[in-house]
Amino acid sequence: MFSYIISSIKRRKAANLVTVGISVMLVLLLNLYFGSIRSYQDQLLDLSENVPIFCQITNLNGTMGNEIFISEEIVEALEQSAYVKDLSYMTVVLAGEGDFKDVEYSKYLNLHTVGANSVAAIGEVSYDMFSMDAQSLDELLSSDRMECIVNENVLKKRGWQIGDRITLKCYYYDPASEVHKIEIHPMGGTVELTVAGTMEEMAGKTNAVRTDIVIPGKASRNLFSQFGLKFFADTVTFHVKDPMDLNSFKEKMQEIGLMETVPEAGLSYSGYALVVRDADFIASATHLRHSIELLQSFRPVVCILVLLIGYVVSYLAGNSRREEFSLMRLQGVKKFPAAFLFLTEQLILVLAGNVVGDVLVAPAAASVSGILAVNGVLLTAYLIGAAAAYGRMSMGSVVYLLSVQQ
Amino acid sequence: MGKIIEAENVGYVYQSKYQKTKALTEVSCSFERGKVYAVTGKSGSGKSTFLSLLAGLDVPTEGKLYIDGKEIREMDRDAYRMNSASVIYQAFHLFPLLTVLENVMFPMELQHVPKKERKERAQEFLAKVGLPDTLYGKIPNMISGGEQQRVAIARAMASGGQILLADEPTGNLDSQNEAVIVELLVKMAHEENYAVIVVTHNAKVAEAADVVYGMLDGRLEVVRG
Repeated sequence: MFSYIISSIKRRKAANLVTVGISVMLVLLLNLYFGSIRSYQDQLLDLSENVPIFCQITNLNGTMGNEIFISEEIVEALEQSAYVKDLSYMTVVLAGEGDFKDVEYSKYLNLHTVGANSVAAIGEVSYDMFSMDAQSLDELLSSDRMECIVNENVLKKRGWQIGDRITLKCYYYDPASEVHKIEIHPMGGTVELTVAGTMEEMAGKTNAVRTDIVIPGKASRNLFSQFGLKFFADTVTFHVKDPMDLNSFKEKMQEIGLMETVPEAGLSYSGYALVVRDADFIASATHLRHSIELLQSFRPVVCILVLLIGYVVSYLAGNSRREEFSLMRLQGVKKFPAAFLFLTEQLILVLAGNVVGDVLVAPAAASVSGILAVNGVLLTAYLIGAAAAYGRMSMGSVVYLLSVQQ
Repeated sequence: MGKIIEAENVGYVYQSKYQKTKALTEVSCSFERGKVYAVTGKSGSGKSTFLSLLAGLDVPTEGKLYIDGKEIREMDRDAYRMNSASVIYQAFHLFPLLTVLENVMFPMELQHVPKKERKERAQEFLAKVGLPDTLYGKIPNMISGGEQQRVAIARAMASGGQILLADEPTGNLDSQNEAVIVELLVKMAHEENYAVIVVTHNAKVAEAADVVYGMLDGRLEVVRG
C-alpha cells in the first residue's frame, strides 16, 4: 500500500507542488506574523535599556538642577529604593590648602572641591579626561577612601604629585534664610587626602562647573558627619529601574517626599521636586503596545484564515481522490486504512512544505518553539480538512462515489 | 455444479430523508460457477442495485442473500470483495496513477503476494486478456477504452475470486472491442470456472449468456435459462 503513496507522489507532480507551495507560503506568512509580534515584544522589553527614563531632582519650580540642597535622607532613600538605578549625586564644597585662620578665608579659599559617587555625577566629563583607568576610577568614586583626583593645572601650580598627602580646610554652602542668597561656613577643621590621580582642565572644554579636586561621594558624606554637619547634595540624578512599572515608581517617589514640580512656585534654593523625563519612553512604549495590540487583534482572523486555507486545500485535495478512494474500497480495502493511506500522503506533502518553509525562515526565526507552533497549527488545519474529506467519503456509498465520478 | 450465490426474496428500499423508493422486490434466483448470466432491463429497473448487493457494497433490506452458503450480512464484505468477487464497470475504473501492470498487481498486493510473484502473475493475466506488453508501463488514460476494460478484467482475474460482476462492461466500447470483451467474459466462465454476472442493455451480451434474467420494476424473471 505504501508503494501506492510513492507512485502517487511521483506522478501527481503539479498537484503536489501546489500543496507543498501553499504549505511553504503559509509557513512563511505565519512566521512573518508571529515574528512581527515577537519583534515588537522584544523591542518593548529592551525599551528600558534603549530609552532609559532619566530623573533629576530640581528645585521646587523645576528651573534648577544643581546648586540646590538635597538632604542626605533623600539620597539614602534613593540608594535603598528598588525602583532606582544608576544613582549619581554630587556635593560641592570650597577648600583652601593648609590650616589657615578663618579670617583669612578670602586669601586661601580657592579650591572648588566636588564630592561625587560617579563620573556621571561630576557633569560633562568623560573617562578619557582622567589619568586613572575607568575601572579604578569607578571603584574610587564609589568608595569612602580619603583620596582625591586633582585638576592637572592645580597639581602643577601647587607642586603636588600623585601619592602626596594634602591638607585641606573645607567650607560648606548653606542656604541663607533670605531667598536667593547662599552663605558659606567653615566645616570646623582640616582633612587629609591622598592624591590618587589627575584630571584634565575642564575650563573651555565643557560647560561643567570648575572642578579643582574630586573626592569620592561617600568620603564627602563622611566629611560632613565627621564635623557634625548635615550633608546636602548639590545634584542628584538617576534612572528608573523598571520603566514598565512607572506608576509604582512614581508612587514610591511620592512616599519618599519627591513630588512633581510646581511651576507656580518662585525661584528658590530651598525645597525640591522630581523631574521624570519619561515622554520619549511613554511615546515609544505606547507606539509599541499599540502595534502589538493591533497585530494581536488580528490573531483570531489569521488563525481562522490559516485553518480555513489548510482545511479547504486539504478538503479539495481529498475530494479529487474520490475515485481512487472508492476504487480502494471496491478492491476490499477497509474504510480506515483507505482514508489513512490518503491522509498519510497528504501529511507527507504538507510536512515537506513545512520543512522547506522552516528552512527558509530559520535564519530569521527567534525560537524553535515558534517554528514548532506554526507547524503545529498548519498540520492541524490540514489534517482536519483531509479527515473531513475522507470522513465524508467513508460515510458515502462506494456505488454513489463511483457513479458521481462516472 | 454448486450454487455460489443464492437470493431468497431479496428486497431493497432506498431511504432518503424525504421518501422511500423500492428498488428490488422479492428477488429469488441463484448463480453457479462456469456460467455467464445476463441481467437485462430498462434503466431504473433495479439491475445495478442488484449488482451492488451481489458485490457486497450494500445489504438487502429484505430477504436473504447467500454467498457460498453464508448470509451476506454475516460476512466481512470487504474481505469478500478482496478475495472472492470482482466488479468491472462501464467506466473501467482503473487506478489513474498506476500503470497497467501495477493496476493488475494491486489486488495481489492487498493479498500480500510477494512482489516478484505478483508481477509474473499480472503479466500472465494481461497476456490472457490479449494485451500487448508494450502497454504494461502505460497509465490508463494513455490506452483505449477496450484496452482499459481488458485491464479491468485482468485485475478481476488477479484477485483470485470466482465471481465476476460486470455493470454494462461494453457500454463505452465500439463493436469490435465489445466482441472481444464478451468473448473474454464467456471464456472466464467456461474455461476459468467463474460465475460471471453481467448487467446489460446490450442484446449481443445477452445472446452470449447462458442464462438471461429480465428485471422489471425491481422484480427478476427468467427470460432464458
